[in-house]
Amino acid sequence: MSFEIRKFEGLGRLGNVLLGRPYETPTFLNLQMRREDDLSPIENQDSYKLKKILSKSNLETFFQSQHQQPELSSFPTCILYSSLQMQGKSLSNLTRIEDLFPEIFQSLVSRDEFFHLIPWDLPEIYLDHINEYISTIKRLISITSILQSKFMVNIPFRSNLAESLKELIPFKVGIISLGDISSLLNHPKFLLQYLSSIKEIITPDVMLYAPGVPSSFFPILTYLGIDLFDFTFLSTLTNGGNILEMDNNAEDYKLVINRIKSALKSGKLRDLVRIYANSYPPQKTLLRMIDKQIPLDQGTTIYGAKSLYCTDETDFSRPEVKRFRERVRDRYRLASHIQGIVFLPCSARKPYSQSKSHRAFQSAIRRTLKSRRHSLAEIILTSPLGIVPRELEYTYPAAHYDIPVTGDWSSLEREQLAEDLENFLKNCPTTIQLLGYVKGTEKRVLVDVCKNLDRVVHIIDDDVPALTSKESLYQFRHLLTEKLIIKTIPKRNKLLDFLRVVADYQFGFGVGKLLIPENVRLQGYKELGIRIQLAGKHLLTFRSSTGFLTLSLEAARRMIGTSKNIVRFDGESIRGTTIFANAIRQADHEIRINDEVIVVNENEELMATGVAYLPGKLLVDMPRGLGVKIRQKVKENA
Amino acid sequence: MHKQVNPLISDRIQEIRHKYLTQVSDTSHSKIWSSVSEKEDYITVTIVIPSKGCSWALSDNGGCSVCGYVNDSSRENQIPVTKIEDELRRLIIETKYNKPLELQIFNSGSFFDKNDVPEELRKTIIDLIKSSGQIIKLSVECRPEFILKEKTTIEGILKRLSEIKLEIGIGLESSNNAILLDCWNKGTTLEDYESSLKYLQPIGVEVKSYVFIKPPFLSEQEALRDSIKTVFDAKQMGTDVISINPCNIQNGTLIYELFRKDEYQPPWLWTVLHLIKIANEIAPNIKIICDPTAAGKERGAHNCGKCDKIVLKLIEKAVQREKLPENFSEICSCYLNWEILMNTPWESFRTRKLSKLRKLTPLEE
Ligand code: SF4
Ligand SMILES: [Zn+2]
Repeated sequence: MSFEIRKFEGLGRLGNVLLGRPYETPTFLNLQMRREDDLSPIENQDSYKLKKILSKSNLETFFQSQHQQPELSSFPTCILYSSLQMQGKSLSNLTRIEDLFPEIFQSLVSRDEFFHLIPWDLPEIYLDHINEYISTIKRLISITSILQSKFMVNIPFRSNLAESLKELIPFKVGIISLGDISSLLNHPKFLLQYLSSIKEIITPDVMLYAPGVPSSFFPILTYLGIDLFDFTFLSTLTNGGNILEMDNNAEDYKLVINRIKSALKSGKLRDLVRIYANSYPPQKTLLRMIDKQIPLDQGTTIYGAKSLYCTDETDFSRPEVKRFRERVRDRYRLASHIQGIVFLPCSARKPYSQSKSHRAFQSAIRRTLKSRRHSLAEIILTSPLGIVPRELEYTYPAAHYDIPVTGDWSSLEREQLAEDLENFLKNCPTTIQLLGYVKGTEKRVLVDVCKNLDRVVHIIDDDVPALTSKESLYQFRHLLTEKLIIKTIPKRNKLLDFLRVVADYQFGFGVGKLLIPENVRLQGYKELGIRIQLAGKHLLTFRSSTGFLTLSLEAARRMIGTSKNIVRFDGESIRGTTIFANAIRQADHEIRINDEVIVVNENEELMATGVAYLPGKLLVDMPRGLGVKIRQKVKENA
Repeated sequence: MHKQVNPLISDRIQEIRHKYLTQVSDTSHSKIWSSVSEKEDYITVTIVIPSKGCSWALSDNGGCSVCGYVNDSSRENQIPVTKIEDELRRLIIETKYNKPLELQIFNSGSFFDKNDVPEELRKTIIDLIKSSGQIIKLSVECRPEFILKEKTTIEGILKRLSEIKLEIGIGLESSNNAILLDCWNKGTTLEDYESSLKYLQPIGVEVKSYVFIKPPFLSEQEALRDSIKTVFDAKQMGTDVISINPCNIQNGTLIYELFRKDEYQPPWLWTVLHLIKIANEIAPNIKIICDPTAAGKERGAHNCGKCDKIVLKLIEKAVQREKLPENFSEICSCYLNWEILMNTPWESFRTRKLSKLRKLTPLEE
């Protein structure tokens, strides 16, 4: 059995599990109960008689999960063994488990399936002796090294079992089942506690199985890292407190899984989660708590789907938004030649500068200030991204987010903008003059924040017509000339400033200057992409579709000293265009999906540049699967 | 006899038992309880006498995990012998019946254990029975070790009773020794039961076997399967009567502690009904009785609350081997919940929070 991750979003994984044959996850688990009478090779007469009576009385079907579950054979199979007591083995003789398991091992050696090793019903009463028990199992596993199968263990909520089982995980635990999950669906706090207590003790190549949850919870649980579900569920949902009968819903269940898979493939799992969460109140609470408590940044791509929808409050805190706001706060600083800032509203069309309104704003600025405009920074006030510097308008998700434009801001949106603006202005020298060409909410927020910080802000009148109207623009130009004092400075290449801001946003503050010296040669356009060359060598490419830079080997050499985005490769030479996770010894934990990475060997020599398939931590922790897509390799003997 | 126990369980039971019994030691518990019920061609008189108390429950091993009968025994107090005598005299001598009597004397322990039921008391009882003249059958209970130890006593009584039949009830509970050991702390094994049975039947004693459903630490489906297997094994060994006992939760027991923590729930009535239905098929020629204590209540076998009375009626019917309805799901919607429970392999994962399950209404689509 082996598991690898193909796509990662939030904590959700699109994976591939090899169990006899490959299956794509998330999927259903075909859980089969095997009992002591199935185990015994010789059918004795008595049990035969009993079986006949049972099958005649229909009761046998109750014990056969197979009976109601649709086409289970097309899903990965896991054999469960009934509890030790049911097999006539006493739990008190923990050391005697050896008598029991070798035969099970024997029957499984040649097959590639899971089975349950730890009795899942182990009562609390036995916890004192659990360690003794675990060491017995460890010994057993070590003597049956030929075994291909991995085990599934069930970890109950709040049990001391988790701690003890920790030791077992590196051995052969392939699946952890969250047996209590269905009773916790209504208790987001406990659910998250339960999941994180388990996440703490496992490696990412262990799959998580959530038995008995309704399909409506599949998306959000996938988002939390669950890989396996099933068709049956018993739960205490608040929406009616119902038990759904599964027969009717089998198709539904499969549909949901398919939706999840395609969402993961296109990087839209979060959107699917929101759609489902909106129709189930307890899920909405859960989603809010996830955004607050779970570090989702790891599993959030640097750039993803073409558009990022922000349709309701839960989206205002989605990880892409959070990251943008954080990075602007931490990595964006005004260049030293800036003398003033003009605050502008956002536009429906992205990037903003391609919209009609921004073209009008920019032309007004150009015509008024002429070359002095290079000393003026432009910042767009928007929801939910907060403040977007003009230089980052191409950068994901600034050019990709999409909100329903109603003009009404919720209090949360207002708070977020005020928070970002305040943070920014606090770090902004008081000599910088402020001008607001905004109306409505943006204006109110701007004025309030400036008042709090005791800053002067010049602002357009409230009663002017639309900001794109001649009258308003006239007043704008008037403000620019009358209220701002912008001195002439030596001519500068504004494009360089732009690229440096992007580089800072992408790699960390200061990297822009390091990566892009004054004497580079630029070719192209912001809108189409820019090639950046240094001394005749290709250095970087700016991609307008994502708003990010891609690294050449030359750029990697300049950056290597910062030790940012470094992946340490465990081999002599890279073959092909992919590095697999098993060959990665170490990686910068700050690396995110789709980040530009620098591959070095054990002597810290540059080997290649590439793009990360997985976040840095997973690149290290995953024992297999795709790691880095190579962009450029150092030629050997060169 | 060598008794095997699992110290992990028995220590805990002993602790619980000790704590509870010291708490309730002053309360007057030496009560006598009796009842009379009329059957078609005989009358059953049942009397529960406060003997010293089951010596297994009073031993260092703590007794059975589900049993709190010892709470009502005399223990360190004097056994109210005269009261017992009076009550018996009233029931079987002074009262005249128009049908023959079957007398059940239960002492919630072992009738042939000298420490539990003193020699004189037993003699008094047998004398009264002899002088009654109405009795055709005497029913008592005893643990296997005392059956095998007190052979002479049993044979002596059998002789004295002469034409009056003797029936001894043995708590088999489960035919799976691991369950007897880990779930029950029963202190006896299937083999003990078998040798008692093999000894009693040839000397003319009828054997009634108690079959329990559901012990702690088993899931609903495991419990049902175990009880079915137990009925089957008891029948194979040749028991005369099978008494099916669904769990009811008594104070001062391990099962009560588990119940309080929501780690145990009594069986569903649907489970009991199915068990009887199957038992009828497994043992078509054996008398099966089932009289669930506290049925329909939180502490006894119960369903959703709406159908409990109806299903209890069905259980009565099943015991009488009358025809049962084909489709249980028409009786109550909670039947679907039960069916799902029986169908879910991971049911055994869920050790907690099971209490709400019965009350949920299945969604009709
Ligand atoms: S079930 Fe019987 S043997 Fe066990 S403690 Fe109770 S009376 Fe004694
Ligand atoms: Zn019901």
